[in-house]
Amino acid sequence: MAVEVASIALMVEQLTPRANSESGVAALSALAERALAGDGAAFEQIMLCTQRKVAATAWRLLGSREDARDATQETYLRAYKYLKSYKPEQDFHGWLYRITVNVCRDMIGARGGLEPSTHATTRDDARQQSALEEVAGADDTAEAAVLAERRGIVRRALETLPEKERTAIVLRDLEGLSTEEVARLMKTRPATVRSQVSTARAKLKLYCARFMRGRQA
Amino acid sequence: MPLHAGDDVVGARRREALAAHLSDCDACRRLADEWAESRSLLGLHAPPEFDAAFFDGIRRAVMQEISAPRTPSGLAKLCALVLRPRTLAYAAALLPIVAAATLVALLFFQTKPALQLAAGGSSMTAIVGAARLVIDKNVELPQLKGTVADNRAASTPRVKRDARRDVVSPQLASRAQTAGNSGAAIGASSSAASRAFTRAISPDAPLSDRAAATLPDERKSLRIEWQTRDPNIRIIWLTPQTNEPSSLPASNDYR
Repeated sequence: MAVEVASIALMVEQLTPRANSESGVAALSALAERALAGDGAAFEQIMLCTQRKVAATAWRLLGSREDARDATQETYLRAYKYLKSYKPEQDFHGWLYRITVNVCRDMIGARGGLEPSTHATTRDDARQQSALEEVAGADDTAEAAVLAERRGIVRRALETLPEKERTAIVLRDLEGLSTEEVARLMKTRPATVRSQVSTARAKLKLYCARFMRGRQA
Repeated sequence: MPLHAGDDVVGARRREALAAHLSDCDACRRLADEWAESRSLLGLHAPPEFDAAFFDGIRRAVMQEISAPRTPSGLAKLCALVLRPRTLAYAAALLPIVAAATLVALLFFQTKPALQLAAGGSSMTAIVGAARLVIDKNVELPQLKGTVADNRAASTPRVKRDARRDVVSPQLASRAQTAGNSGAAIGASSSAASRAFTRAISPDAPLSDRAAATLPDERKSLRIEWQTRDPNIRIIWLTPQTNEPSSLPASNDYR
């Protein structure tokens, strides 16, 4: 059932304009213009095209499913509200990314950091549940268990990072944006981004080496 | 090394130098490999599989929010009320009336009455146009004995001789002229509203007993101050409050 749903989701994505291609970007710009004119269906189409990426980015920055859902919802509400500030010659994805990052940073700031959060207990329970499901469903249980544990270590390592370093490394290494694009999104200089990414990588290496080495031992 | 792991080293020369070193140095190459492996662990941080229900819920909530009729803010409601055609028509009709009433009120209140009297205590202030008339009653006179110089010294404070011209009242001026060198103390007010005021009188002239006797026993005088429209001209009139002579004294009285 889960596989069928995933296939349908993939088909939907293939039918909708491809985000990264030029035609995809042009199609998104056209949809944005129609949405600005009051076409609600056009805005819903925009959501269908970009929801997966927005939710993934929000999850990576916030670390929980519930927070990612709230952030995704808030991102689209802000995008609709500020649609008039979008220029057709702009990259729609970059524009939406900016909103997503700002929304996530606002949520982190409102919480006073990534941990603790109102969803902390729910998040831990959800993580454990999903880890167990993953292990139970895998063919090689031992390998799956190791993989799940490593994921947990990496997730915890990211949570120990300060907000700016985490944002920089998520956008640079996980989202694959260039240093200049990350600097534009974070409203800072490329040299600052490089410094933040470098520090974040060093901390991650140290954290992972300590905990993974301990597990291996 | 952390920058090299993500291909973030800036500058082609620096990249070439680093690559050349790594090809020769085994220790640094192993370190670079560790960094690359650590960075690749980030790939484990993949988001969970969000199902269709997850996204449907988000889309539904967003569309509901943007489709909901917006309640106008208080300011918007006020503007809508004020800017209705009927309200504007009423305002346009009332505007000339209000303007005319304002103009009339300004003209009316700008004109000062002929005389405003403000009495307080022993003084009275009258405003006539732009001139101010101050009448101080019960101004005490010092005992007038001896010479003018003696009395001049007793009166405080003395008149400040500045750019203003102190104009003597016609009666005082005529007294001074008739007195001539015989001398007379015209009078001096108390320190409360004082302006010692002598003019054209010899300071060494003795005060005749008769002149002193004509002054009221109460030693009270009336001080009338008249500020004209010209701020540099003020008329001060000192006159006995009681037993005011009906006519000017003869010059002989002040011998």
